[in-house]
Amino acid sequence: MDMGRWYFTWLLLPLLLAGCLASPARSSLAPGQLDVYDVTLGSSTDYQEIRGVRGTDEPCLRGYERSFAELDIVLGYGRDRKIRKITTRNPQNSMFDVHPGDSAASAVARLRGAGFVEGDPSRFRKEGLLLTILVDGTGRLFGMTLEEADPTD
Amino acid sequence: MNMLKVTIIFSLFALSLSGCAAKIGTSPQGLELPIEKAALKLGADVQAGGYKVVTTDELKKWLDEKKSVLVVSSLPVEDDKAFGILPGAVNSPMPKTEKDLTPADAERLLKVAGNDKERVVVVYCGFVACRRSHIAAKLLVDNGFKNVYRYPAGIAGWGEAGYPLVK
Repeated sequence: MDMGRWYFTWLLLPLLLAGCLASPARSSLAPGQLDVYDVTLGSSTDYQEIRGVRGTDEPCLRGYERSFAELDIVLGYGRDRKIRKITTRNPQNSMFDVHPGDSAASAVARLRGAGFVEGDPSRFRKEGLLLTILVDGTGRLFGMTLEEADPTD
Repeated sequence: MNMLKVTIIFSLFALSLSGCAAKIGTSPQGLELPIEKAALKLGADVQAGGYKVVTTDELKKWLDEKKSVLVVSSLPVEDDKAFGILPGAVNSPMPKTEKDLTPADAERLLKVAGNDKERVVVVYCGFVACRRSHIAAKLLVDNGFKNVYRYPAGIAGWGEAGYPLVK
């Protein structure tokens, strides 16, 4: 084996291995399934500001949460500094075509249609994702959270 | 000046300097600013909530003495599974902010707390800055419970004290 090929192999091998060993893509979301200011689950983007609104951090057991009060969204960052959770109360946002402000009944129907299965009340699971809907006393959805489901659950 | 004297003077000087350089504050590890923020919020919440607080040592004593007390974790079920619960605790998850509280959250907590309004109920979550336990405690007080305690240190404080968390 000549030196060029040797170097090529040894440079490529760690890269290939890193690809194999890396955790699988956290979210298998198709375009349009999540519409929250282009934020994606699993992203390591450190959003200090979204649409001119500055985020404020609060500690949580699994990392920290960054709240953008005027936009009514909260991003949960894990200890690995990747986005593990997205909460929105903003009717301009959507998750699987469900918007805050929708009736809970229509939201549930849409989530079932998208392949989600309801476990505990208001909590829906699908392919490693957990979507929780927040429903008010009138049966209207006022917010929702999408997060990576705990694999041990 | 002989060498011994020089050595003693330099040693004393070094010791005094190390004394000055040591961290001062509530915790030897520092972090005075987050402590201030959490303490102020806790004080305001306790005043607004109308409940009492219980320290780690007091709560441990109550549990050791088998005092009749209902301990409620207001953390998400996933966190209880991952980090463990205080001995004998039951779960009733609360949101992190009042804005996210749903009627279903409230109904579940009141069901867990039962009908005896004189019963001692202790609610906790992750740590002092966590407000899930405030939301739970206030809800109980607002619904007529007379002996509601918030355990602010939560599972972080319980673990730091070396007390067991049950998984």
